[in-house]
Amino acid sequence: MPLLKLAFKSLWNRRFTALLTLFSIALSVTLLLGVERLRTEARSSFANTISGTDLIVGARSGPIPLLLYSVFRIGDATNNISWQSYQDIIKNRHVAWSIPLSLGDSHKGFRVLGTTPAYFQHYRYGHKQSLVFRQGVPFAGVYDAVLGAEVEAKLHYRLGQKIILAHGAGEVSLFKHSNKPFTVVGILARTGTPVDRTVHVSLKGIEAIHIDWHGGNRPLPGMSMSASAALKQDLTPKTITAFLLGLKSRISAFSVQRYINNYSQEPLLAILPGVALQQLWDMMGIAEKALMAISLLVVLVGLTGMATVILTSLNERRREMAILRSVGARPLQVFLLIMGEAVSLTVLGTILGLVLLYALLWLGQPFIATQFGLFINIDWPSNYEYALLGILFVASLLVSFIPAYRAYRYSLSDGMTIRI
Amino acid sequence: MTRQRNLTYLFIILGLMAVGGPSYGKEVIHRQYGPHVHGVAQLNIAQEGETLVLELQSPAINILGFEHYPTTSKQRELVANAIAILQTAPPLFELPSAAACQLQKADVDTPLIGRSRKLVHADIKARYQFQCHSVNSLNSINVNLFRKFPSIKAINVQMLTDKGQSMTRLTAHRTIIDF
Repeated sequence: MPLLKLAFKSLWNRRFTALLTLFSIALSVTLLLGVERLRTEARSSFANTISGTDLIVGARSGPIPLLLYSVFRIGDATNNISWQSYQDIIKNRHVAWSIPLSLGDSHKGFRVLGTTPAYFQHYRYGHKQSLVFRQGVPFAGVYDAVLGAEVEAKLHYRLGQKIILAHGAGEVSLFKHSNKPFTVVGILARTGTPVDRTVHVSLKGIEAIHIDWHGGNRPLPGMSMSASAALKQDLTPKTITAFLLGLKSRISAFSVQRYINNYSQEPLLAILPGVALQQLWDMMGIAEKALMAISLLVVLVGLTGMATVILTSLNERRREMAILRSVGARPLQVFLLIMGEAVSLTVLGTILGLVLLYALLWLGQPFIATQFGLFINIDWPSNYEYALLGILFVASLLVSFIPAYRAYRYSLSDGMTIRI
Repeated sequence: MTRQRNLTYLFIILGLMAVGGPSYGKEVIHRQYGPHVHGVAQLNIAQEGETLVLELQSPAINILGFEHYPTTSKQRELVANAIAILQTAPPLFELPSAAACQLQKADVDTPLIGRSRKLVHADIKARYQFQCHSVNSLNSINVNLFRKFPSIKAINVQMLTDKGQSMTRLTAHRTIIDF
């Protein structure tokens, strides 16, 4: 203990260089744990978003794009699919339930999802948890809306409030469906999935707000249809973006998938969400490994920097060593002193790094959620992270051996007299 | 200026379309094919309750060395042999004995024993249905296809079990599927 105290005091004497070293170690720790954190949190966030759905069906593209736009609201569909094909496929005897999804509109930067009440009944996330209403009820009328928890938290809407949807999914929308306001009838409890960031309306509602739009153009002045007039029209949608399928038995999943992928009236794609998710990981695995390798290298640079700083300081500190020797310190104690210095730098650097990491996570969490739809949980370090820190500690011990041994040699040869 | 030119182009295009482009929309797609990669087979595994289904699909060339209609008696013999091997599932797929799985059904299907002689890239499909009395002990499957059919270099496995959906890839050095 007195050694550590002495090491600390000696460090305090050289606080400027020590602080810089400390900072470089802290940054490398933040980077190492940050990369690890993002990797695992992104995985669990993705994996927890959908469960209990056997197949996702959309226009024929690739499994990963379909998964991303239908479930995670990342990117856009290549094509829509027809209502007729949807009706055709859900008549299959193996199908237990289905949830149609219609994307494309937005409300103040939040995606609007057109669906049916089946969504609230059958959609599952995490470990087969169903959606829970914190307030209100599922939508029943054409102009009813159900908000995700994040939408409510950000925009402070109450039940009964009127909201206006905007055309397109852009952050800034030029065209608003202002003649057909929706009423908030329900607010969902937080799920930690993209559902929180979604405004849910009925498919008929989506159809109604576009009924006077022709060929993707907004209605000409004087040609728009009022909200009540639209209700009298046939509001069966012509197209949807994708749909989720639940089967009576998962044994039939592969055959239903084949049936859909060979469906000759329309090029459709059915994917197994869990399998597509794993394909996504396999693709990202290389990038993850590269990031991990880089952050490990940064840690190495940090530690080498620390060793260098201590090494260069040794020459200036020969007098300090000599004084220590003169008051009775043995060469081994000088060795331990330098080790103690490195250890205190690493430990303090690690603590500072952790503080930085949590500050960054806390600051970055809302941004990552809005930009990428990923929910980063702020948890205590995992066992793996502790193990990483342990390795870092051992590595710092090994690296500090070099200056410590050097000091040991000096103190042996110099004794109490310095020959400079 | 450019706008006018663009309009002219538009009219030309519209005119061409009216005169007689291909009529999309009415035609039904009949020309579509599944993936077919030599050396790679697909294994689908689905489990629900005590039922376990394995579906193997492979380009015939992996199993027979050819994938056209068998023309010589030797080729016909090869096809018959392969079907016989595939029909006896237990040596091909080793299930843990603790799971107490019994083969209920094994079907092997290939157009090579069908009527149509016009075959390119024919597949062989096999489907096995087991009943496993203690599903909880069903934690791995050892796939012995690589030894029986060395032309199979890799098997893409998709799994649907109580634990969810997953996939993995087997090679001659990695033959065990963990649940």
